[in-house]
Amino acid sequence: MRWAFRPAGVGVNEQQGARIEEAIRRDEKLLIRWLTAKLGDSDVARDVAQSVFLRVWAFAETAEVENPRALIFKTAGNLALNEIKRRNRFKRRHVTPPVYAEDDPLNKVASREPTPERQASLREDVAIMMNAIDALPDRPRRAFMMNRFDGYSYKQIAQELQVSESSVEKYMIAALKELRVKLKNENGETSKILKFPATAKRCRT
Amino acid sequence: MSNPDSKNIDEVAAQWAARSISGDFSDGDRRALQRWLQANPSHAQAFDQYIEIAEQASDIADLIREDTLVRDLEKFSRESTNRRSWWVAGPAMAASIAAAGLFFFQSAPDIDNGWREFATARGETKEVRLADGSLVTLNTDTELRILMTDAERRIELSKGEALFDVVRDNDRKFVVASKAADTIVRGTRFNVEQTTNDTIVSVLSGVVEVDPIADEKNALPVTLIAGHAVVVHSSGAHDPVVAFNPDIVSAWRRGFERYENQRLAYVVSDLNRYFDRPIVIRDVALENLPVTGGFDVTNQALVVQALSAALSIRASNGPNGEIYLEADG
Repeated sequence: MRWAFRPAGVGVNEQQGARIEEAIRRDEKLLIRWLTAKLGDSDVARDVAQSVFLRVWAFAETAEVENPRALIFKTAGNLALNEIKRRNRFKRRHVTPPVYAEDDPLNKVASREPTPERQASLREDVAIMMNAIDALPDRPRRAFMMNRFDGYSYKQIAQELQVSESSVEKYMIAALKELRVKLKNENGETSKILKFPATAKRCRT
Repeated sequence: MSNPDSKNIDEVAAQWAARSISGDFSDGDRRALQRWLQANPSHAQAFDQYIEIAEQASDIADLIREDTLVRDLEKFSRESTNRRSWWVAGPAMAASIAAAGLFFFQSAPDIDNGWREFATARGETKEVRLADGSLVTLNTDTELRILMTDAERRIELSKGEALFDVVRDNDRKFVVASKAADTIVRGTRFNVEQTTNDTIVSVLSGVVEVDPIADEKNALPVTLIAGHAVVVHSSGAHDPVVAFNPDIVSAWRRGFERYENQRLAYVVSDLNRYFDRPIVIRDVALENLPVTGGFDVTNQALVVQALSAALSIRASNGPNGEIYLEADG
């Protein structure tokens, strides 16, 4: 029940506030049970749930929330994924992750409510990219998917595919070049390939 | 664009981009990259295009995973709601609980029990609950068999269409083998339709790997995510992945077929799967009429009525029980 009430300083109109409070009250226990099952730790689950509700309130400050439950679920999926990814990063480095902390500035960003139109256009973008990836030659395709989808390093991919690391790099270069040509042609422009909602994480420093 | 200099920049940019995402990029590498990027604005521009592709691919992976998590939460929520009403109902539900227990007892030992076969007649649908909790719903005129082993959960769809609600089991993959392709998943919701030669796979949630059967060079596996569908031909080739409306694909489970701007010829052949009396288009000119709408597939008379009213065509009885569609007038 703790998070049903809007945090101090949040300015939300009465009606909207009441609807969100009701949705949070209804789903809080469910959400914590689900997060506990996914993350294997009820304390972490509580912390993540808290972040979910804070984000929902932050979103409600700036926009009309049509379906509070959909927003809560979407935000929960997003934050659970962040937590899973954060742990995997540490697991790959063979160290124990620190306890859940909202250290990632991205975690503080307000949620976006998924509109059907947005979902649809996103699906189109995803389809274009997935088709281009599927059309790659077998090895570049597998290397690219392992690296981009599963976060494998070239060393790990080399072991998996039984080739040298420099071969993996060649596959990746081939994949990147091929994809650039494909996506450029299909979109008819050079610089921005897809209007994708990049979560702004540059590899460069 | 194609002068040798810019071509070279492009090549180096691709190399740097590939190296920077290798997972093994040292501070020294980083500084060298920095120097190269600052040497000329065109360097950064070329590099950015490759990095953007790499990032978009990762974003897509996140999107898929996030989507899968949200579906999982929705399912979790539905199941908890069901459980609650179950308890509230109390003793009144005792009989069905006993029945469910009996059902579970019957279905649980099907591991290593060999193939179990299921079929539906025209117009019939059937739900089969597997021992792992997954649900298979057979649509009209469908034949499939199921084999549960410790290694995998295997369905062979020889005819028709079925919707699969698969309970996740990381140790046992779930394979739907059909004429043109194997569809391989862990836990997700998807529809497989077997036409005469093609296999159509539509994914409602999660991620699905579709592996064509044919051993051809062009027979490459396809990865599908929620909201995407693909047609695999028996040659092993597949059409481009398309986005589809999930309501349309799963409508049959509620006794409806829905079409959006489909040719009448297609709609009729699709609807004919449900009924003993075949509908026959007698005028070639009618075949390309566009059809949009929902049809109650439990009632052929209504279907024919709706078609003839919407398209101004005339329906009559053929000599052997067929239903003829002809241009009106």
